[in-house]
Amino acid sequence: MSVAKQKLCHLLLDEVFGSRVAKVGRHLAKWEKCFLADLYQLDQPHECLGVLINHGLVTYGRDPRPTPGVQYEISLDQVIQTIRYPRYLYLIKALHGDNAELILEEVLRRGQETLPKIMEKSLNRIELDENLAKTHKQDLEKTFQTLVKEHFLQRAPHVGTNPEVPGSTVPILDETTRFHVPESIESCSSIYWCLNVDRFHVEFRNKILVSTVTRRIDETAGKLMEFILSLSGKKLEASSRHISITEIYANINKCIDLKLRQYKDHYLKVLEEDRTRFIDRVGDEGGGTYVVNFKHIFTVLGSAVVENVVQEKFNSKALRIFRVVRDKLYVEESQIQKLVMIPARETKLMTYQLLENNFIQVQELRKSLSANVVAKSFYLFHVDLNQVARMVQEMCYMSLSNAIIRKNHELQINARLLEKQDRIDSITSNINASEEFVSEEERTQQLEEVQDMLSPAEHDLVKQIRRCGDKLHSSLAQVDETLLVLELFLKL
Amino acid sequence: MSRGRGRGTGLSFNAELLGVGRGQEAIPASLLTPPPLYPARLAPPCPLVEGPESDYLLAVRKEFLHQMKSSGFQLGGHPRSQNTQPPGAPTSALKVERYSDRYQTPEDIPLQLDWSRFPAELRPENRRRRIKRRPMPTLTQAKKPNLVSRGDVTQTLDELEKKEKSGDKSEDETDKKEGSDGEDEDKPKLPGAIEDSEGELEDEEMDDGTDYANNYFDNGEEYGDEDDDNLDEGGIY
Repeated sequence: MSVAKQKLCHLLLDEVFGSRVAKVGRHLAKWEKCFLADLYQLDQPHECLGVLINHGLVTYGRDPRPTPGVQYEISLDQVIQTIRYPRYLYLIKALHGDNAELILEEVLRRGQETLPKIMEKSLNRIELDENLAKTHKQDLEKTFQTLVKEHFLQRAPHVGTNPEVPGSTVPILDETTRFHVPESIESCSSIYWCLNVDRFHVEFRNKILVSTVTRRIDETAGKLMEFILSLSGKKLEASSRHISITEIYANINKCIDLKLRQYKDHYLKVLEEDRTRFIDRVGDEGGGTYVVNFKHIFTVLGSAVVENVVQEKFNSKALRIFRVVRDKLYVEESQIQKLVMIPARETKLMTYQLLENNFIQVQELRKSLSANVVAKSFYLFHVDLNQVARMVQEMCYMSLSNAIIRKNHELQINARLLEKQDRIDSITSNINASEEFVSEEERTQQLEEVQDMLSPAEHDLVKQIRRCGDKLHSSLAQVDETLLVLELFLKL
Repeated sequence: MSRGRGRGTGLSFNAELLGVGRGQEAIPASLLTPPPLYPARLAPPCPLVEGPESDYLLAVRKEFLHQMKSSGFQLGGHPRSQNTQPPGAPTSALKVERYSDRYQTPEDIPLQLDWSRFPAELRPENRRRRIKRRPMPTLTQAKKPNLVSRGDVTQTLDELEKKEKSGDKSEDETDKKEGSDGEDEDKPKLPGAIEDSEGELEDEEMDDGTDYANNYFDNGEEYGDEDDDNLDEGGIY
């Protein structure tokens, strides 16, 4: 657990759940595992822990021996995933429509919730909001069942005792009923539902792969990849199950894309022979069996991310050096200079800049073991992609923290101005809603008066601050996209 | 210059022999300052991706944060609402009722959680209250029975002491007897009755003339509990 990650989590918790929860979160992150007694010095730790457990950010466990109490542990990855909530909603909206979005939004806000409550809240929102299409309760329930069936939602774990270890306190999640919705709604009132994050990540992974194929080859190939991925299972694994060609063909024949139906063999061959190896042929039985090697594909994607970072941080010449070192695995400095075709001095400078920033590593090979013999050793440059990816991940954490800090700072120094603007907005909406005014003229006059509470310069400033805040919010989302690729690379 | 002693020249070897030349490729001067906090960028940053997707993500994120703020899950003040006043502003300004206050949503929504789903120690009914310890026997308590039989002066002193005791006692019984406290106060206090109850107390504790059998062991669990409500961060070592 790095310092940058802890800091980011503190900022995120502060943003979403407020300062008290953030303090508890920071304490938990610092000590990895805590007893409740360790948290007594903080303000109302029970409530904060309740909130965190409720949103699935803290897990707990107690063995009767050797620990005397329940230990709480925060999952920093889960905390960072709170940035991804809008992305979950976007995905579910694209896959299952507005109703699904509404349901998921309720679940995300509440952390975990029972079906009747979700229905009640969603229907309330539909009634209040004019922009939302009117739907029946039955439709909502059907959508909910689809979401559970598709494993996007699951039952939330509750406190219990591990039957094998008497006296323990652990969160219990029954695997057999994890994705099961009871027939009657009445019996649902005590079952809480929460998000199944892994399922979303599977969708994200598939989406990334499809867009990669689409960009590398063409749209039809992307569609084929989509079919193959739909057969590859709903779990995050390093490699998919064996998929036979007949299964793929059966899927292709269902679609209406004539181009794909006509050239399906060609497209499969192209996917297979691409240098990224989108699919691997593992056997010839039944016309051919394929697997999707996610580990390999995400290694390629992860290195592409790292290469982009090198290019943006330094320049394209540095990128060339980086690629040569990566390609040749272990190279000497003089070899690099020959291979990259850049003036020697510049090459040297770039190489050492990369080394200084830990993008490439140096391995020393001694000819003799005695230390005082000079020039009897080789220095080989190499790239440890895992380590570099982790470093870039850290950089992402730092930039996310910086963006949040900057946003908070902007809001804080301009707090008075923004408050004034909020007040004007609320008064304006009130004037628009009220029916006291006899004529429209009077109303517009009043509105103008209210607007004049801020000078034109201040109006501009407010606009500028808001634009700045929006930009920082967007940048959070986009850094998170990078983070997602790296995470999948490191996790698989 | 005497050879071999290393006098005069700072180095005992020739730097040029090691392949470190003069001019451009010389060893750079050692850095004595930390690297800059905000290093200059070589190239301008890439622009953000814009489009319907990022607009949607932005809108949803802002909406989500806004909803969380008024959901009851947000505990403790948010930095913005906390620091709306610049440091120099008078604090009394906060107390003036504003016109816009009427249009603000109340922010203190109670936290609603199904506590039965969480570990027992977190549930509100199980939260540990400050435990009042029983008063320790004092020297005056132990000697009292002898004092009663003395003359007038001691008797009046005794009366006073009893009054003091009864005052102390009602303070001590806070948790359990809160309901019955009111009744006690309504009744006229009979000196005899109080004496009786005190006698019982002494009997229990002082049966053998010592208090060795009593358990005054403090396992330290309550230590530091006194002010867990309003301790800011810091002081955790």
